[in-house]
Amino acid sequence: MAEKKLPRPFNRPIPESRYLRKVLGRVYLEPDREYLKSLFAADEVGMVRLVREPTDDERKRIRKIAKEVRRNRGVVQKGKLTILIIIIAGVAVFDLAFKNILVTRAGDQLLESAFGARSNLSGVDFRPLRGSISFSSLTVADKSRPMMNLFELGSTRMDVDTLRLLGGHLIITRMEAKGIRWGTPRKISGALTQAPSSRAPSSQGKSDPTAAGSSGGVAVPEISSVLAGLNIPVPGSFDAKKFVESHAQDLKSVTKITEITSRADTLTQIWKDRVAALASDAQAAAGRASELSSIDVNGIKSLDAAVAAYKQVQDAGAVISKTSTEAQTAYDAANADISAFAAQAAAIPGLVSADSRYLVSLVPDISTGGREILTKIVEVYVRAAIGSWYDRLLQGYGVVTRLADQKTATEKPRTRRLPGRTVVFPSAALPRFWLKQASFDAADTTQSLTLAGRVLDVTSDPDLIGMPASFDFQGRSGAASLEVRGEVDGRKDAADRVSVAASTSGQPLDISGGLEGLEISSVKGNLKLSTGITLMAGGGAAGRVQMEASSLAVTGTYARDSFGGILADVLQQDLPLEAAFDYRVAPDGSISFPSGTTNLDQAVNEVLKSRAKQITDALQARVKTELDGLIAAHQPEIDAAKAQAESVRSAVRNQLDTVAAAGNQVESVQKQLDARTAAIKNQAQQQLQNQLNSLQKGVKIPGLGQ
Amino acid sequence: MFIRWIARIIAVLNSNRRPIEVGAAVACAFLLALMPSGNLLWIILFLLTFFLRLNLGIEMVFLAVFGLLAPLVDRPVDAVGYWFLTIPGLQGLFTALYAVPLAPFTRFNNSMVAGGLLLGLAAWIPVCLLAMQGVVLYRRHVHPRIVNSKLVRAIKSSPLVSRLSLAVGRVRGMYGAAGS
Repeated sequence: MAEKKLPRPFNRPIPESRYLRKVLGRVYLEPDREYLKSLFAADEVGMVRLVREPTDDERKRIRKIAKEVRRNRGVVQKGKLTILIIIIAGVAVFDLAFKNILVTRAGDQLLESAFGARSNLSGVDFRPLRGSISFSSLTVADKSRPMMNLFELGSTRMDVDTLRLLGGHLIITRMEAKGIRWGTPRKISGALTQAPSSRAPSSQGKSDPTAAGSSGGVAVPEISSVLAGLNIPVPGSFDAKKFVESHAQDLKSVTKITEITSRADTLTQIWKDRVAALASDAQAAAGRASELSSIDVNGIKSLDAAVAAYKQVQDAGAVISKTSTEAQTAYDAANADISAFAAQAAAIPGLVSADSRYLVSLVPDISTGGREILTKIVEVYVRAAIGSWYDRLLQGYGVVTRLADQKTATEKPRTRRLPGRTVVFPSAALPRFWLKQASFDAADTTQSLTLAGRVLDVTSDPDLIGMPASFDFQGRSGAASLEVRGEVDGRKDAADRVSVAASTSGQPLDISGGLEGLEISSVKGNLKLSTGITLMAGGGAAGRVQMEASSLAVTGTYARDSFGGILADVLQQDLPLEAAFDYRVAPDGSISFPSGTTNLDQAVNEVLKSRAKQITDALQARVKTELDGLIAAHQPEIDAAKAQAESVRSAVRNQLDTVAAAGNQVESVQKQLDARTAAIKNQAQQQLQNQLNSLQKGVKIPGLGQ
Repeated sequence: MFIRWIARIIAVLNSNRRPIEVGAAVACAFLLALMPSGNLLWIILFLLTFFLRLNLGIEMVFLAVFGLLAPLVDRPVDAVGYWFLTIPGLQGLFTALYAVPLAPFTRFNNSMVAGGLLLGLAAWIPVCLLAMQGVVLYRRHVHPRIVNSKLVRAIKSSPLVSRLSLAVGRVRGMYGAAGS
């Protein structure tokens, strides 16, 4: 058996200097060094060689020492380094071959982390040397509506700062996207099976309106429910007769009429008896007066006869005077009763008017409710619009917040050791993510639709770049246009988190549901809307909405006198309808309208008032007619009572005339008697004088001369 | 496992390996222990040791030992690092360095990283020389005495030491025999 050859460097003579440096210098154990010195030695020419033939065990030992000598050679392990280089090369080749897949996955993860919903990138082409990434399509699902896309991009190209990317900063200097669309349907749910990040903002978790859906963030009442609560009277269904009858017990005029007719009956009965008694007395008085006519005044020759006649006249005069006084008293009493009756009857129109006013007051005045109705109708759409915007703003702000949260998460301090202090070099400080400028547009020639927008400075560290993210967006479809501008400020000391101003013009307004209760099937026209909304740092939002609706056309089966007809007139007038509302969105998503102004106050309210007045007047006229009918039913009773009262008056008057005639007759007789008595008295006096004169001529009385 | 690590260290100390391999391993362990991990610089330095001719076993063991002690010197490390990072004359260099791709991943602008690196590098040669000297002295004076002492001979007869001896033998087979 041949002996095995010794390994290098012991298998051949080598120079002593090299032996000492390359062999003996790499043997560090003294026993091994001594052993080698005993086995190898330099010859006369300075070459080191074996001094004797080693045994088999010594050969083994020499082989081990030779292996250790080789291992102690150099500083770097070339074998491992070669393997490393091969691995790196393999990774590089793999990366180049699969870079697009890797970028696709990284992009999906980034977007899913930012938007909290599934993202689908396709057709990715990453060119690191050129610093560009492009993709053919991107869809990002809506977190709150997994079967809808939040947005969808067509062909998109991004310019990325590759050097910064190696430095851990994704700086997108420019992004151009075409074919952007929102709210497109999905075939597969976009919900993530597991939340991409547990670092979602706590505020989102508390009351995340986006999680409740576009209709869940803000409660939007139905128009039908709004109208149902207003209890609007519709003339066509208003039963005035029933309405008057139901309130008859409260009407004073009806009660008074009943009272008057009853009083008239009582008076009639009383005066019927009294007039009869008065007539009897009058007849008696007339009889006594007639008796006086039998007296022949000229035939009275003596004084006794005259005195007797005079006494008869005096007695008749006293009776007639008494009767006359009673008749006058009765007449005055009848007049008083009749006047009182007339006064009560005269009060009836006033009572009727009062009752009419009372009944009319019970008819609801829809003119005062008109503004409230329209405000509530507008409010429904404002709430829907604001709710939608509010949800979108929260989604946008959520994206920025999640980006910023990722930044802070990487800077978590280590617990066991000091975290140290990070020295920031201003010129070099860059955020992890910075989308400097993104522009997108979409054009659909079939619908003459153009959309364009820009997003600036979306970053994971707004404090570092010192400015808020901003965006503007313009859209046009035919005559309709939309313009949105806003800022999303994620800086720590930002007073307002998000502020947005949006305006539309020429926007078609098409309300084709919710107004069935008014028998209006659709309202179409143009809408111009501008709104501002500010998300406040403390939560919630505030803003103002201004709306202008013009060229409105209303279709439906509403009756002209119905409220639907009124609303149609209001909407279809030439004057544009304007409304402005201040609103506040509470952190829980509820919307309140602290103030609002509208030209509905003027234009709409005037129309409403006019129409409402017509309806109210019609209702009032019908109520008055019903009331007049009710009064007319009692009119014959009132007229009969009046006639009776008049007949009483006439009867009393006749009796009074009769008595007066009798009195006149007595007076005449008395005057004749007085004249006759005076004549008799003069005649007797003359005769007595004559006799006295004759006596004086025939008898001479002494002392008188003659 | 631990016995195998111990065996490997004993085997290295008793083998024909260069003392600088041990010294460099200890010095690298000291450097890595002073720096906070979790940054690209630490990872690069750590990976680098895999390709250098130094003893990984000793490096791991000393990394664990120094790692336990490192928090005791955190404040000086932090102070040195912050002082270094705020030297006005070096601001331009650091700013330019920060702009270099991948540099931010090293977190060199953190005071603990910079301080650990600075102190670790400064102490690298002294630590290495000390460790090398220790190996030489061990091999020259301690090891022969230990091997020839009565106590060791008595202990060698115990089962544990038998297992240790077996392990050392296996490791020596890996690293090569080194005499007795």
